[in-house]
Amino acid sequence: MQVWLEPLIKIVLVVLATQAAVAYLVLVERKVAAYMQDRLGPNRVGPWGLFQPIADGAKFILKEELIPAGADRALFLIAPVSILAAATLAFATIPFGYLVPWPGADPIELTIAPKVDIGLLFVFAIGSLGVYGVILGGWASNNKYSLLGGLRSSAQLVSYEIPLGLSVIGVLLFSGSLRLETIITAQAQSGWWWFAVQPLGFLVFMVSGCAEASRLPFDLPECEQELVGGYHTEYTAMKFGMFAFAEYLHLITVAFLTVNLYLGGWHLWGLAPYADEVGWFGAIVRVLVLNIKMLLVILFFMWIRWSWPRFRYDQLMNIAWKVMIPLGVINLLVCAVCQEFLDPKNYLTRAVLGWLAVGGCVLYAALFAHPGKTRLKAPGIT
Amino acid sequence: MLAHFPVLAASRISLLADQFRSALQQPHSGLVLRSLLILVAGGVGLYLMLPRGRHTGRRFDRIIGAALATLSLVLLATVEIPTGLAEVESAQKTLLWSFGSESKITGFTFYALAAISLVSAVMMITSRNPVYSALWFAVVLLGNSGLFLLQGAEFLSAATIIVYAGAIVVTFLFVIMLAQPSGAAKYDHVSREPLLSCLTGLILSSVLVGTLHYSARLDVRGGATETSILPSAEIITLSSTLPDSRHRTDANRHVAGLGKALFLDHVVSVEVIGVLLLAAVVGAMLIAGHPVHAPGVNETGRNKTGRNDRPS
Repeated sequence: MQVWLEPLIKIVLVVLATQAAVAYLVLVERKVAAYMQDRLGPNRVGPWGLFQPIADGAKFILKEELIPAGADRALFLIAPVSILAAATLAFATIPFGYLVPWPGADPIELTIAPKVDIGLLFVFAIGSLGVYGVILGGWASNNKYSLLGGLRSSAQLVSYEIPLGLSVIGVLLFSGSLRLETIITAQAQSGWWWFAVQPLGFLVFMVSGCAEASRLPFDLPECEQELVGGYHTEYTAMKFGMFAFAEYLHLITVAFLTVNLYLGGWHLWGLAPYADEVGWFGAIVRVLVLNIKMLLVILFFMWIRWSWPRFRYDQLMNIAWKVMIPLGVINLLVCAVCQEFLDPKNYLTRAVLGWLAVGGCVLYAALFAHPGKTRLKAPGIT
Repeated sequence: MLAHFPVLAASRISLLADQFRSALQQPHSGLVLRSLLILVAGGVGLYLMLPRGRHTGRRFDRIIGAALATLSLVLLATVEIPTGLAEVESAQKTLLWSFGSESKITGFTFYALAAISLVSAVMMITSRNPVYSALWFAVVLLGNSGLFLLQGAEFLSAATIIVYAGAIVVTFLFVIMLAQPSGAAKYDHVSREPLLSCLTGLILSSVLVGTLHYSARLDVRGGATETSILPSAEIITLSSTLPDSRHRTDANRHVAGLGKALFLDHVVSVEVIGVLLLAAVVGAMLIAGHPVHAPGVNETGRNKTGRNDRPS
C-alpha cells in the first residue's frame, strides 16, 4: 500500500507547490521589474499586491476563449496541454530536498522518483518534448506570424539543447553518476561546488538554460516588435495561461538544475555537521537551503531580464553554434584531462585549470574574435 | 538444365508440404494457426483503412477496417503463449496478464502502452495529413520508450525520446510545415503500394508469432536455451516485475553497466560510428554551405542598380 502512497503524496506536493510558485513568480517578476524601473509595481490587490496572482488567475479563467477560423481545432487545443504536461513531468527526478526520517521505515528521499539511474537524462528527454507545444501552437493557429514564431523558437530550443547537454558532461565526469542526488552528494563530500571547479561549463549551462526557458535575452518566441506574440499570438484566456505557466515551470526547472548541478544542492559549508544527519532539523534545513538557492537563481535570471537587450535572431543562433558549443567542448576537454591525470581529491588544481581555461577563452576573444562583424546571411546573398 | 527444373521444383514443393504437415502435428500448431488467422484479419483491416487510390472517399471501408483491426488486436491478446517454464507457467497462461499475477499494475501498464503504440502506429500510416502522421509517430515512440522503461532499460527509453521524438520527428514536422503551409499535397492523400506493404507486414508478423510459439516449444522439450529466442526463466521473472529501483545496489547500476559494455567491449564500433556521424555532418555542411548565386546579385551583395540588398 505504501509503495504507491509515498510517490502519490510527493507528486501532489510537487504539483501544488510548483503551481503556487508559478503564480507568485509572476508577481515577483513584476515587482522586480518595477524596482529596476523605479516604479511601484502591482499594489492594488491586497497588501503590497499580494493577492494579485489570484486576480490574474480569475482573469485567465473568465476571459473569452477564442479559436480562430481555419485553425486546426484538435492540435490548437493539444499544443498548450502538451507543453504544460511536459514541463510538469520534468520534475519527476529533480530532488527538492534530501532525506526525511520516517518512523519505522527507511528515510524518505525528497524526489518523486528516487534512484532512477538516468535522473538528469530523464529531465532532458522530457524537456525536449516541450518543442511540440511550440511547433503545434504555431502551426495550428493558421496565422503566418504564429507559424514563423513557432518555427523560430523551436529552432532555438532544438539548437540550445546541444550546448546544454555538452555543458553537463563535465559534471557527470566529476560526479560519476546521472542521478541528481549523487551529484549533490559528490559536491557535499568534496566541499567544492562544481561551478567553482568548472566555470566554463557553468557559464554555458546558464546561457543555454536561459535560452531553453525562453528568458528575455533569448525570448524571440514572443518578440512583439517582429512577430506580435509569436506562436501564442492567437491564444486567449486559460490556453494562453497554460503557455505562460509552462514558461515559468521551465524557469523553475532550470533553476533547480543549476542549483543541483553547479551550486551544491542542499549543501552549505557552515551546515556541514548536518550534511549526513538524518533528523528532522537537518531535513528541514536542507530543504530550505536548496529552495532558497533556487529562488536566488530565479532572481538572478530576472535581474538579467531587465539588464540585457534582446539578441537578434542570427546573433542568437551564432551564440549557440559558434560560441557555446566550442566553449562546451573546451570545458569537456579540461574536465576529461583533469579526471584522467589528476588525483581524485585534488580539486584545487582542477579549479585552477578551469579558471585558466576561462582566461584563455577571454584572451582569445579579445585578440581574435570580431563580434561586430557578424552579418545576416541569407541564401542568395553572400 | 531447364529440363530438370520442374522435377527440382516438384521435389522442393513436396519437401515444403512435408514440412508443413509435420509442423501441423507439433503441439502448438493449433495456437499458431489461430494467431495466424487473427493476423490475417488484422492485415485485411489495415488494408481497408489505408487510403488507397480512387477509393479514398469511402468512409465505410475505414470503419469496417478499424473494427477488424481492433478485433484482431483484442483476440491476439488472448492467444496463449506457452512459456514452458514450470515456475512461470501458472502465472502466465495467456498473453493477457502474461507478466505475472503478482503485479497487476505492471501488466496493466504493459497492455496500455502496447495498445497506445499499436493504435498510434496504425493511425500514423492511415491518416492523410502528414502533420498528423508525424505526431502519431511521436506517440508511437513515447509508447515504445514507456515499454523500454517497463523492462528496466532506462537509458534506452530516454535515448529514444531524446533522439527520435525530440529531434528526428521535430525535423520531420519542420519540413512538412515549411513545404506545405496550405495543407497536404495530392500525393499525401494516397498510400503507396497498400496491398504489398500489408502483405509484407503480415508475413513478417506471422513469422514473428510462429517463431515465438515454436521456440517456446523447444524450451519445453529439452531446455535448449541456445536455440531459443525466449529469455530464460530467470530473465523473465526479473523483467516481469517493475524494475524495483528501491533495492538497486551500486553493483547492478544500469547506466554504469551500459557504459562499460559500450566502451570496453564495443569501443571500436562506437568510435567508427562517431567518425561516420562526423563525416556525415561535415558532408551536410559542405552541401548546405555552398553559396547560391541569385541572378542579378554579385559577390558584394549589390545588384545591377547598385543598391545595397544586404540587410543590415
